[in-house]
Amino acid sequence: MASTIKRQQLQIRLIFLGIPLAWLVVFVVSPIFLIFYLSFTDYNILSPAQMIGTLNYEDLWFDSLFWKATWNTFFYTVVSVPLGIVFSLLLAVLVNRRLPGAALYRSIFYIPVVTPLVAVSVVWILIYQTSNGLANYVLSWINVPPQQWLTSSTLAMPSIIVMSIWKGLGFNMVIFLAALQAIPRELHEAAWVDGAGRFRSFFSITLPLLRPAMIYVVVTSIISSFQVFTQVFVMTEGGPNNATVTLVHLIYRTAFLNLDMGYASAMAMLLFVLLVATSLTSFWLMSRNNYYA
Amino acid sequence: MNGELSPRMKVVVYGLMSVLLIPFVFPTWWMVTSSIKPISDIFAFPPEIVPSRLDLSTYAKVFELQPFAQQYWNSAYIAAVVTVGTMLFSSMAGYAFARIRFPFANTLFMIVLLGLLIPSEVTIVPLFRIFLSWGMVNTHWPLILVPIFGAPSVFATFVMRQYFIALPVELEEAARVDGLGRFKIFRTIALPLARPALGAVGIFTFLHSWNLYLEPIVFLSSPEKFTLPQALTQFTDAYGGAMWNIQLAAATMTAIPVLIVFIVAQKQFIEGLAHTGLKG
Repeated sequence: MASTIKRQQLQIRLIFLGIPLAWLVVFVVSPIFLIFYLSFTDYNILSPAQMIGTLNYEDLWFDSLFWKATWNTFFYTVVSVPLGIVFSLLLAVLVNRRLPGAALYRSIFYIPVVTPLVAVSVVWILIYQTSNGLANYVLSWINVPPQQWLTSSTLAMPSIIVMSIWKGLGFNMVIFLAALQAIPRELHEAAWVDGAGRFRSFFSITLPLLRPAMIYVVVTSIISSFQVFTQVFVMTEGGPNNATVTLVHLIYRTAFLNLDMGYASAMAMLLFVLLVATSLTSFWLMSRNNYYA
Repeated sequence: MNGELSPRMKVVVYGLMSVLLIPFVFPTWWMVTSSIKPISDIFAFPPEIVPSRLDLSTYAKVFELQPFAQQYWNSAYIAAVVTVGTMLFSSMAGYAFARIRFPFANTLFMIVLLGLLIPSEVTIVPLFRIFLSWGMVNTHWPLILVPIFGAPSVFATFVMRQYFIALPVELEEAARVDGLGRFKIFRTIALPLARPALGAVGIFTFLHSWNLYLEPIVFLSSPEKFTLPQALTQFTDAYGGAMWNIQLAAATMTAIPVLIVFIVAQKQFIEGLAHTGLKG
């Protein structure tokens, strides 16, 4: 009896964990080792990879396009993550009421999240047209001259950021909403009795209690903005004048248009290090507070 | 959140929400209405908010210029297979991490979570090399095999584990006393109870696969194998200029099924998301 239970347990572990873990190793973990190896080679797919030592990394150091792409990715992250969080939190606070119809508004704010990103990008190209786009038409009401949203190197990245924030607001809104609804009403009532106003109550009670949701949203937003690719590829192809080239876009171009796979691997390795560094910092933040244990 | 609102505040809140509605609804409205306008009206200035003339021939052209029906099918079946696979694997692994005691469980779980940090955007070069050596470039295999237990499924596993941990263990223990094996307990007790989390995982996996863009453009090269997002941007004239009306019609057809599912199942979308990740 005891031995059959033991055998059964072993089987269960093998099946429940073994298959998924093996899958993870083959398709997720092993490529990281391969990419580490490839980053030290000259490889163009057609002929076998040649070891060239740290040459790719040395080249990266002097590659102004790579630094530009890194800067653009940082700029995108540093602007879109805080703005997206502030707006989605405001939106969550706004719809977090027991008013008739609030659920409908909530659903409508969520529509951009479920609309495919490529479809959204195509529509926004039209909205951002210089000569007859909707954005410039709205600006003309207040006598602002037409702007070159996607074709000027100063405006292209901010335009893409605006579109991306709009696309993701609903997602973070729902997460904040769930966290807001978990806050006991009594806390606010007690604060009210003690004479705290709405703002004081928000900053002293709501915001601290939103901390776990906040950390979660910050981490997922940062990770996904490091990988920004689709909207850049569809809307500007990295232009004008490389003003919107991001790291993933540059990796794609280097690997699959220039067939310089070794060099692209070195870039991907650095992107991976960036991701790990950022996330470990946030894991550390989380475990310090023991919210997820 | 602060109890009852005064009537004046109600007006302010409704007014604010309604103004905010415009930018959220408008681009989708613009996509759908522009797709049924003649191309000259798409670029009318001032823009036409409600179409004055209809031209539905665009929709037929979408299917003439590309094997769009085939591409539709590609996207649909790939997303379906990935969704079922992910739901299966993430619920099994999530259950194991929540309930089955084994050595190095926490270490293993941390390793799995590390998978979150290795999205296929990072590993696309070695993945290409691997699938090239397996003769699977320009097939749908990479789009199916990688996501089934890739970075998004790691997230799914985390969601399932959190959900299983929160379930009362007594039911399963009672079933065990009754002589049920682990498999049976998992399939007949734990899994049905975890339906909300499983639904959320299913929805997000499907959306993720349906919207996948980098992987198709890297792995697929013949139009009859394309997926929808990839096909969308291929409607260009002989000079490489976009055929806007046709792209918009195709974009509308790509977005509509997801939007309809969302309207029907919005509760699961929104509450499912609220369930995930944050409890535990």
